[in-house]
Amino acid sequence: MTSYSSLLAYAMMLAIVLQILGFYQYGQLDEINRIYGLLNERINYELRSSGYRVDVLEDTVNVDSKDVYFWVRNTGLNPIPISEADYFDVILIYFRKRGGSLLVVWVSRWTRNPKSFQWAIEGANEYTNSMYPSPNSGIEPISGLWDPGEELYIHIRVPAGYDIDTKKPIAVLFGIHTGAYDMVVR
Amino acid sequence: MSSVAISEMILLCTSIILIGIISSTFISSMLQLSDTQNVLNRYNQEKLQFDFKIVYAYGLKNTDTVKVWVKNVGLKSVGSSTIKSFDLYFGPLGNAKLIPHGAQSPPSWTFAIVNDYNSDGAWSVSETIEITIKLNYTLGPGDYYIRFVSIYGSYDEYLFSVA
Repeated sequence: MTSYSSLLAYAMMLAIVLQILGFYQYGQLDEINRIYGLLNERINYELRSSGYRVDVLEDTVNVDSKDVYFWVRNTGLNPIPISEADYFDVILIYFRKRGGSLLVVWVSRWTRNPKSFQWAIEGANEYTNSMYPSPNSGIEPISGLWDPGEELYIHIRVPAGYDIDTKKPIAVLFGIHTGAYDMVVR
Repeated sequence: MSSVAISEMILLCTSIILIGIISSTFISSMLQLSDTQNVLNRYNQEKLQFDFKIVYAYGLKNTDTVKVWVKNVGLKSVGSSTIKSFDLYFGPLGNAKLIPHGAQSPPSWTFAIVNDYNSDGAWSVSETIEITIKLNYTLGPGDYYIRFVSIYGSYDEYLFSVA
């Protein structure tokens, strides 16, 4: 009888321990699974990001005292949703005509007719997946894709009193939502 | 026979009490371990989801201000109060120092979200922050180094020169 009661007691103890271990392992596996999922998401994101690239076409940079125009080409592997254009970075670096000081400005996006230190898409060379409305129609695009090989025509406007000294170098940085960017000096 | 039964009962009771003591000790240790593991897992999740990139930085000769633009290229937003806890190191190459956020006197750094299009006040994915560093000296010619470190330990570096 003694051996039976001891056996029963050990069996109960073992059952409880196994149950606890089971619960713990289940919880941990769930967490590990979640981290594994995130890791995969992160790797996919990095792979996608590495396929994004843009090139500002240096020869097309055109400057007058109040405006900068240039073409930028999607030289990556992926199309860029034009709905992400709000998250593009445009930084203008130039010498001011009055006083000659160097200005470095992060330029915000404007839908059309850029006002002070703002930029807009004013045209596009498109081949597939047309943007809507077409930038060439005079209306800022809100949907569609900027596909690899296609080009956007960008207009930056500087405010009155901040005129550009066109005789001195100017630089333009154009970056997209993934952080890929290109910079040219004219 | 009755003495055997009594001994048996005593042994059984002792075993049950022992099981109770051992189990409760084991359960509390497991729960503690589980809590620690969960905290670590949450930290790793946050770390995996957040990343940023310094897009551009500049400072001019004989000025005491440096501007830095940093883009959120991760998978999650970061609250403004969290950004204040990030570490920013700046200085001549090889002699960078920790710059405190929002100090009353220079050196200090502040930031603004320049394209908060969803107006949530947070540094959302693909948004850019503009960091302004105020120095207690003016920049001379040379190379300058910036390191921006998140609360998760991830960082990005940038080097620029002043002519």
